[in-house]
Amino acid sequence: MRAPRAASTLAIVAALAVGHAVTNRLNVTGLESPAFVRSADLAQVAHLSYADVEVTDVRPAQYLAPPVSDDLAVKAGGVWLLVSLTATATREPTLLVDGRLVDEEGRVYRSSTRSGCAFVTHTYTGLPNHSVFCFDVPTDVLAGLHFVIARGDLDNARLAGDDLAEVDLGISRSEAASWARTTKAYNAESEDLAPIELQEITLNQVGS
Amino acid sequence: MTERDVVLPTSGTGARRGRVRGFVGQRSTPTKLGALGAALVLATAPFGGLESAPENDVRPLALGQRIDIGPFYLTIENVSQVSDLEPAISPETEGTKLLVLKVELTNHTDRAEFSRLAVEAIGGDHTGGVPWENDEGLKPQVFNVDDAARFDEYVNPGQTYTLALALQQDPETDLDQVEFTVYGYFFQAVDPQTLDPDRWVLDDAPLATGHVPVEVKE
Amino acid sequence: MTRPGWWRENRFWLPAVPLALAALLAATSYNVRDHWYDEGLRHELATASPGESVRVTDDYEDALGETKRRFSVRLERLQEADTYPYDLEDGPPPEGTRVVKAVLAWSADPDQVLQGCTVALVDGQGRRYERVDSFSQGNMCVRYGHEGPDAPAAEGDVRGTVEEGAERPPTWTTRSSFLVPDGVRITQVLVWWERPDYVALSVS
Repeated sequence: MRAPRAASTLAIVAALAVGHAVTNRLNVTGLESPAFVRSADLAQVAHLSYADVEVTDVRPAQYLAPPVSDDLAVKAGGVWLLVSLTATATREPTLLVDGRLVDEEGRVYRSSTRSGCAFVTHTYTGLPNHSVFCFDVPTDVLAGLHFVIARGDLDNARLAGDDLAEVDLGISRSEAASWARTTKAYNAESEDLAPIELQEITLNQVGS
Repeated sequence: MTERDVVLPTSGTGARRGRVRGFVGQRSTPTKLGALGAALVLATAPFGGLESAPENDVRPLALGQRIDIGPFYLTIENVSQVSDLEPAISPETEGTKLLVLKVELTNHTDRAEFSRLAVEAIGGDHTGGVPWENDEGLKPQVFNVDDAARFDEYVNPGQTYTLALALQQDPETDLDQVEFTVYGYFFQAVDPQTLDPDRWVLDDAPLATGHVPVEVKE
Repeated sequence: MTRPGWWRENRFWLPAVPLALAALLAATSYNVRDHWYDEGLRHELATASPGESVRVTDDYEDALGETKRRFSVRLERLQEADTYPYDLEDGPPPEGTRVVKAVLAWSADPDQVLQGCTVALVDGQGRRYERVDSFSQGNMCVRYGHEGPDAPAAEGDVRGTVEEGAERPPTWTTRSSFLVPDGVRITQVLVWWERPDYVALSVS
């Protein structure tokens, strides 16, 4: 019979087309629902549903001295950016994981583990905790950088629908140009209940 | 008993042609179309239609040659044999040498990539490698040439580093036989088993291989 | 508009639709337990009035399988203190906070595995305060040096094995310090091992 066969053929083709569209057009593995972004400027508090977050300072460096004084200082491939953060949990202790930097083009930069700085920050209920995140970034992306942090893993869908803090670091083009040429060295810091004062240091040359 | 007509096969081409025509004529239309399709594919054989896709030829490895391994541009700047790589690292036993590859890598993608991808893309043959005492085995120890500190982390987009990959080496090794191979990665949008997105997967086929001169330094 | 008789024809299947939907939701919500319910403190095992002792049975699973821990606990008192035991040394509380110490009286058979618990304070608004400087976290229900049995780690281990010298007496007291913002009133002390199960002790 011609008509039923034509109809079932069309049905199969239509089903294949729908399946193709679903797998190719819809993002089945990416974030289905984006995070709620709470924006703030430098020295301004971003109020997340679970914590208050404030970037208190950002500065460049060429070298970072590690927490263990016997270890070698680490040099930036581009320039080190030290982002100082103060965060307070509002309901229960919460871990903020993995602060990142995002440039004007939307590229994401990760913090450095060899720097000796923080890569997560603990937040305590009603009690501010201070931390410093360090990033090794190219010298030509500094202007317009934003700092991003949340309690969910920024990589996977656990962040979906959750609050995320995005802080405009306010780095101007002229600042970016001079920061790119910095030769300063600081002690690396990670987390502290007391406010962190970044210490500038001079390095001793070690035999090469 | 029912009578049945028995049709005996008669010999002769005329009868056979009639049988083939009858056979074909009795197949349904989809079957005929399928058979026609198969015949067309086979017909491309004389024109190379059935050959496998050509594989990229492996390049001979050379110092200073920039290779795109996927996440990084990788350049082996030089290879040397040293007695010590202070203050970065020293051989664990007296008399053992260190084989050091000086490698430049640049992340040319838009996201941070793990430096280990570059380290694991380099294989060696006849290196005379001596395993490290801890569980590291024959894995090279990796240091940043600019500060002699260990380097094992994410390389941000646009960043370039010069790294030293150090292996312990038997001092009797014939340096003229040492060979290296550089492999590449392909980008997998979705892992078919785990659904992990956006991963680099090591390719089986090497990009470059061969012997490069090993500088002997004190 | 459905034609007349459609309702009659479908009178058996229609009631099945909500049931099928419920079954569908139940079947696809298997992640809710692991990723939401089990991650919070949602199942109260026992609750005590101020000063009252409470007997607790906590079902849990260790490396050898399902098991229980049994113990009694009483909140003796909450007291204020001048210093907080930070990771490196004792020191004053940060500005704007005070030190609150929870004194708990425990009793349990010496073979009960009670290591690895967390104690926390809860205020009148439901906010929860835990130990800071988390390096020293994790064994708040037993006394240092007398923790009692370790949890079995692998097949072949025996439940109730105690390291020599670490035996636990049948009754003991623990003191846990917390940093609490000024002006906050603590109303409960919580004790838990594996979420979502916890014990709540009311503060007078």
